Amino acid sequence: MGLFGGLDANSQLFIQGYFTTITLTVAALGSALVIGTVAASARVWGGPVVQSFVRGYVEFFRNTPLLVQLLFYAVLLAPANLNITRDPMVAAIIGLSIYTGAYVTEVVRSGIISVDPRQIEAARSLGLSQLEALRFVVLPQAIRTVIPPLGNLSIALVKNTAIAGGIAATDLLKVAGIIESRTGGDFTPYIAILVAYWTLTLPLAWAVSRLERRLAFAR
Amino acid sequence: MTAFAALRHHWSRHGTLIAGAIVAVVIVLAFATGRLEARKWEPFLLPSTWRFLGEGLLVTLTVAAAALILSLTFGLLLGIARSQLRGPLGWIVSAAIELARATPILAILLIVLIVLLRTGLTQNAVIAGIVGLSIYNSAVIAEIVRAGIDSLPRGEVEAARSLGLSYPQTMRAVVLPQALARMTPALVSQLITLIKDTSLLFIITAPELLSFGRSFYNFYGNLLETYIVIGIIFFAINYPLSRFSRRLETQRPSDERLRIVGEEERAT
Amino acid sequence: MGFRALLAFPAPMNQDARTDIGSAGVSRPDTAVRPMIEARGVDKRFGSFQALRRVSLEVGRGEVVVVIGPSGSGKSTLLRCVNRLETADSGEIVVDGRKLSDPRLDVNELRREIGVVFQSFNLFPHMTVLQNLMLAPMRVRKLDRAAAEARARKLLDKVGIPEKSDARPTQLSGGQQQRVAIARALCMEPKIMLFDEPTSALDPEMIKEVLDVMMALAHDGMTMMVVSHEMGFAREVADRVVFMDQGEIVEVGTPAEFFQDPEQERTKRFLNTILRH
Repeated sequence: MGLFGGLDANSQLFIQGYFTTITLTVAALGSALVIGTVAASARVWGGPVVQSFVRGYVEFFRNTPLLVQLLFYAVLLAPANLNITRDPMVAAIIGLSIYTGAYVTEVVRSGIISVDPRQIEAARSLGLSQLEALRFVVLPQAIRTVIPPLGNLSIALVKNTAIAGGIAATDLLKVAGIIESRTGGDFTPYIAILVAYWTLTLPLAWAVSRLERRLAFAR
Repeated sequence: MTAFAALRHHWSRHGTLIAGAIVAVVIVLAFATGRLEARKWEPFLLPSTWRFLGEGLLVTLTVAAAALILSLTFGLLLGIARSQLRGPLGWIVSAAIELARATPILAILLIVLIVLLRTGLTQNAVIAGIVGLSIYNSAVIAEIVRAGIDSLPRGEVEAARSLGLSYPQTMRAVVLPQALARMTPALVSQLITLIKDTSLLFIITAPELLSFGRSFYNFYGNLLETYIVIGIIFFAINYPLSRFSRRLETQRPSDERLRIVGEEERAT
Repeated sequence: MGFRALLAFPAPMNQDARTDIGSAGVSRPDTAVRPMIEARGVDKRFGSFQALRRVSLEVGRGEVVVVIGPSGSGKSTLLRCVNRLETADSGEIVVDGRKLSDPRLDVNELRREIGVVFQSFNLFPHMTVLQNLMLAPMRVRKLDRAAAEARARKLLDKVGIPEKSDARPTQLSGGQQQRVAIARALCMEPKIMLFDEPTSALDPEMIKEVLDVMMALAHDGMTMMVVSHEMGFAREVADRVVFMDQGEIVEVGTPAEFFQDPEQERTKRFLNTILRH
């Protein structure tokens, strides 16, 4: 931790914040992928009621501030209401998942509809079952179109975890504030957390742009 | 897609059930937490409530408008610079844009606030908010602009130059009008993001819609209801914008890269 | 070029051409056994559009039937009904003794006996040629990799492009892609092959290579139902030609009867428009 000289006393808190940010990202990304995939397939193959339900979900949660959503879940789960938990991490993961899930839904949906339906016909004509056609023909092709935008969504998610501090989760950004007040106005923690965020977002951004270029050539 | 008839069948049978279940859970939750008590919703019937929240909304919209104008101006300049400048200067511009885009906007807002407070330039959190939002959005818009310019075929610039147009003339008459048309959907999406992000001014204690909401629920004790109403207000502003953006996209299928840039930023 | 020429100059030589090639091929199995495909009174509508109207047709074992007709005449729909890519609204289709309306029918099992070749090839772009050919034999027929690969290579040989086994579909010409598509269908060792306008998306110079493969297949005794506008192919290879218009079968006949002396006015008109250029 020599790099962050002024932080030594607080480095433990800092590392904790770093892992909180990673935990929030990974947990929310995992559940957002599940939500998004289910919702997207419902949006593509569901009946009219289901389709408009999913459309409503996507539109409402994408057009409302994440902070308002997080505050809502935090209060909803708190003792005064559902009395489930006061842990801001739970509310943060729920909120980030549902919010990001709405974006994932749109990405996966466009991935599914980017696959020519005649591909499915060809697979079914060879005797492959519904699921086999999905698994061997549709998904491998959909994934190609879906991976770069999902990478971009992960970057956005890493950045969005900072908002969880607004409902008292001790993520990186919150940690910077805590250390700053402890050290009486030292500015280094802010520099440190910027670098910490960049260690997460920049490699992702680099990977996405490389992938995009590779897939663009493959096509 | 007849080949997926069974999947479709599956969804139409169980999907409605799932959707119904989610709606039922929400309703049960509403009852269990006493959310449907008229007492908690009645304040929203008072005109004074809307005058009060309207004041907050006005701040929110002013902040968004100011940040939009600043970001468009700087974003356009930076985007042109990034696409045209070579050498160390171009490298610095690119690095600055990439770093700003890789940073959580809330971190930018907090740092700007602290810097402004420390340097004694201003105590005003709203100004800090506008500056912070503008820094981040300038970087994002710069990237949209760059992608828009780079998506034009090189031949067009060469054609214009060989007609004797100067470089600035080429930019103004040939490149920018087309690039702007291509990037409008991405810009509108970014405006939605910007409007949503104004809510983060709440955290740096600027008086915007959410802060007004807090004073409101502190008085009436209806937190969840207030959050829902504020969410609906944001939705009412952003939904038409997102419809508009989608219509532009389908009217003029924009370049693949522009769509991807838009996709990422819409999530922030 | 031969087929283009035939297309332009209809009558005299076709009888010869047919016996010429026909004698080299196998004799058709007798039709006393049950036909391979039997359609009886099939109706199909899409919304208010009646795609098929009381269509009845039999295709015998080893028989080659070419279906022609203007676009929207229902010929492709009929073909798609045979392997249940579309389901008939009423009437009955029996394929190799299996009633397609039977709710207990295993569609996947039915389809593995029916090869389909599409106008747009529909190769899987994320797989190599060899992988395209091996997917269904391995997943559906449960062949091991070595057996599937051996079969795939043998068929690539047969369609004349063994050297393309590791290429991606996008690296092939249209004619090559369609030959791969035929090989892919043959890898399942189907009893019936359906061709849905297999040469309509091809540049003229590639049509012959695909038709040659189809012709060889016909001479091997494959039961084939071909939707096509290649009149030369119909004349040389078809046992019977079916003319459809507005969802109905207007006329059925041997190529000789059909091209030289069509009975129906509608058939004459259609043949005139298509043979004129």
